[in-house]
Amino acid sequence: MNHILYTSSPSRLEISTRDVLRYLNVREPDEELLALVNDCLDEAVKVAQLKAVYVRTNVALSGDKAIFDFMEMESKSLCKFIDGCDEAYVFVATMGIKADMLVNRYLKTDPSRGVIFNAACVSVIEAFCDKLNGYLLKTENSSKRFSPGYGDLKLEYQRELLTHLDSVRKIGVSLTDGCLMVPTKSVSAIIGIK
Amino acid sequence: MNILEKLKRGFLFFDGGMGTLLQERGLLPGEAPEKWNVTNPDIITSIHRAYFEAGANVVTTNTFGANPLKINNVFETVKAAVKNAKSAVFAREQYVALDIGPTGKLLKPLGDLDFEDAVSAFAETVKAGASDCDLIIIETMNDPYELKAAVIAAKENSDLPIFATFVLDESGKTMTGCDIPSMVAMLEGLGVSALGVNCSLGADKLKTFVPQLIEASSLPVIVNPNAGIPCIHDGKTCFDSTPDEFLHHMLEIADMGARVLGGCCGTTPEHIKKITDALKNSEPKPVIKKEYTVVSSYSRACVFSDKCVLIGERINPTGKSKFKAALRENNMDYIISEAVGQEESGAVMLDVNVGLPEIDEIDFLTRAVKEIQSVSSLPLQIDTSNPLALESAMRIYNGKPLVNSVSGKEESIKAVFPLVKKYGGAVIALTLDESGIPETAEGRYEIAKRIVERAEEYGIDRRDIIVDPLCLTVSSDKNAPRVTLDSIRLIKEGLGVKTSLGISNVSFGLPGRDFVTSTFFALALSFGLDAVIMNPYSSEMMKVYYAYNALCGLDPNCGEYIAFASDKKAEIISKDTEISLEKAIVKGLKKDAREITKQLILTTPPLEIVNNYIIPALDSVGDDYEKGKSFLPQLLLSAETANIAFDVVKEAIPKDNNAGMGDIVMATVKGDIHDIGKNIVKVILQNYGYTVHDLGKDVSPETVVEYVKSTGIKLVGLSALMTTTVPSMEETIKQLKAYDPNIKVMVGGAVLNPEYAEMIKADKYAKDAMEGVRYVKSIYN
Repeated sequence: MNHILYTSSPSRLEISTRDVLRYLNVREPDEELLALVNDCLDEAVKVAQLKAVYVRTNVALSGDKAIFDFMEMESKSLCKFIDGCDEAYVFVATMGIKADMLVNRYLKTDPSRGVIFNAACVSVIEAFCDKLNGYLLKTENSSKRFSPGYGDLKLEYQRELLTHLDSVRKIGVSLTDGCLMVPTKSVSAIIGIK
Repeated sequence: MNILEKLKRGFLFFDGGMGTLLQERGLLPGEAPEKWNVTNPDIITSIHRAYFEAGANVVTTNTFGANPLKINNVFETVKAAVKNAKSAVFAREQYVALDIGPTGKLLKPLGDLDFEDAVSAFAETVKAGASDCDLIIIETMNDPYELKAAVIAAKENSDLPIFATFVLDESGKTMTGCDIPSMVAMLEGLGVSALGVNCSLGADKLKTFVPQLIEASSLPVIVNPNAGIPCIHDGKTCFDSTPDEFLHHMLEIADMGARVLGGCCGTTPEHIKKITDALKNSEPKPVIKKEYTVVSSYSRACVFSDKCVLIGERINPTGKSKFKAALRENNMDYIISEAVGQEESGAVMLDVNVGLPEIDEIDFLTRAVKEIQSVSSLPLQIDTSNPLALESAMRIYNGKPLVNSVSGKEESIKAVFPLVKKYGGAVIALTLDESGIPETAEGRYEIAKRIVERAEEYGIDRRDIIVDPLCLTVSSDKNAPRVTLDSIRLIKEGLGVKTSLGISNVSFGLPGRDFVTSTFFALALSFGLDAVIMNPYSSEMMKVYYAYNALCGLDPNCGEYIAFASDKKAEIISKDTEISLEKAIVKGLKKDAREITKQLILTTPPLEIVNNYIIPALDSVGDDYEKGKSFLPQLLLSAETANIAFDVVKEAIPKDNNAGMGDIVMATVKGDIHDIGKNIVKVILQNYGYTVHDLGKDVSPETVVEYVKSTGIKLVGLSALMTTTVPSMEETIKQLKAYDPNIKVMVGGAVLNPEYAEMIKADKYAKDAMEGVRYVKSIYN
């Protein structure tokens, strides 16, 4: 299995203030809030250390199972998502641990900034995934991907998936006992190739 | 000849990669390479032998992932691995290193692995393998904290020399943001025999960081790069380097002064043979001992150099009733805000003292150090006279701490120096002994000299002793300051060590203390003072610091001074527009809220301010929030602003009238590390006057029950974000109800709903912070 590393400089991502506001569920920001959001977004971009590792794999469906070269996942919703694909990309991407450190600090010392900064970080990692997605599918940025935890795809598959992608060593993403990724601003996902 | 003698005489060559070679021989993707120690011992031995034949002096056992967090049968696997490596030895001066890789988990506070659990995991591997090896190599470490756990496990379970290497990314830092000087400071403190870098980057990239390593390290430097890995950077692909290219870079690395050379991922016996052939008749550069005094945190090193090191003194209960109350109430938030406040005011290190007779100092100091390190990257000075508390805090400290303090008393020396030797650290040495504080500079010099000599007997270098010649109060002895100043000069010149002063004492008993303290500070600087324990909130002190640096050529273009002086101006708040306190809270204008409340308190009774201004403002924001007219960030901003107003009001309320509205214990349940939701609810509840006992995240059911037992609080709020962690919420509720069925439990979190909450027997599901407030109100009304 050929692990390939991917990275991008955060300043080249397409992230807008609107994305952050959407994650915050804010529809009508006033001027002060907008300034704070932009400031947090600038800081998030500054601390981002974007890295991803991906593999290309065959995929076959058998009943409710999706069979990849290196593992199987039982999930109706995943099967529906990759129906019609013979191959897929599987990736783990992260914006690095500095973002978590700062989110922690702000939540303890300046909670409103903490919440906004957290949303800014989510926007950064999502934009990075969109870029990687687009790169892999050779299209524009794309958000078509499926992650453990979506639909009926169990979060527990994370363990096997991250082991196969060697994510601890390659990009520093590990799992907690509860199958949550650390750094928390990380995404693992499957992309079908049509 | 043992490995350390060999290292003294010349280059030491390590082996290269193992994983890729095993894959060529049929190891399946995802299969643990460690298994092959038992199932295919001949193949493992043949690879080790190929490296010895290529000229390597050291092979590393195939135990990179052989720890109990990754595999089941650690003992058997490690034993077999060591045997396989030993079987490959065919000549003298061929050594076997017990290989220890990372656990694959991130330690708390960012991850969920406890420091002591990491130590125990590493200890299992060490116990299984060390007895038959020549050294231990701890490698591929991304996180200084995990590396520290591994070194402690190695030290506590064997006497072998320890080599340690860590991983750098392209910015020259570890994944957790630790730079080279910090890593070197910590590892030297812990007493490893050689240190350096491996993995992640190819030799071409890694070599750019070698000069920094050589510059910082007094120990032999190890460089074991990858052969290079395919990588795509913004659409461009970069590829492996050939053995010849690898050699080219490794020769440069050797020329820079690295003494231990080998390879990591993708390197083969062919790569290693190139190096050993090229260098077998060469002499490495000598290892040069550095004279820096340095302490570190997990991401930054503080070097004692020309500029005086400002150590914030505010985390200390002496003479602070608010601080004492915070300690008694287990209020970590107070300590955290003091840490961040001092950092923002310009402190570069923080003293941490939580000694009060009625609290468990061992437990509290350890937790305080952990909590402060979770929000601030400043190196810490651990300040306690309790040796058990000192050991506990030094052990879990992430980095190389400064210890405050040792004295010339034999009892103190015997308590403190063994800990410094074991865990690493620099120490403040007070010039007093069994007969007290000498009245002359010469007398203090003699004590300093004896402490330095005793330190060296323990194997602690004098660069790690920072002498505090003590300053007594000028109001009781007019000559005291002069003696202190003379002592600084005498000790620096005579012993070649750094000096520090706890400076505030000089002005004790005088009015306008800041003027006296800061003038004495200026004098002490001119006598060469290297560090000062001081109040960073004192603008008189900060003025002296910045102006002195500018005047003495330590601040090029007076840049720092200018930034400091301009910042002062910016603090003046414009009072052009008249706004009400209510509006300030609604708009989240923190500075205005403080000023307006200060004005208001002069004319309005405190309770009236709360009831007529603050609470209505909060209610109006809360109302808008629930109607979808304002949003979470605004709600929080208003809450924080109201808190500032509250603080001003509280100062005006007599203490016994200051009782809270009620108490609630809050925690994010075991297994869950996402605590944003809980933190939001906490801020809002505090705003409405409730006292929140925040137990943090990843909290076990037992901890919650214990806390409830010890405090008698009957209301608990729990949060969980993931479906995988709801069972631990259920368990927590079960245990709470078993202890006392009258305890009320409120729950919240992304995956919960009212039905689910009922199923796990919670008393209340709160969909957001405001609903939480309403429920708590209903309990306490």
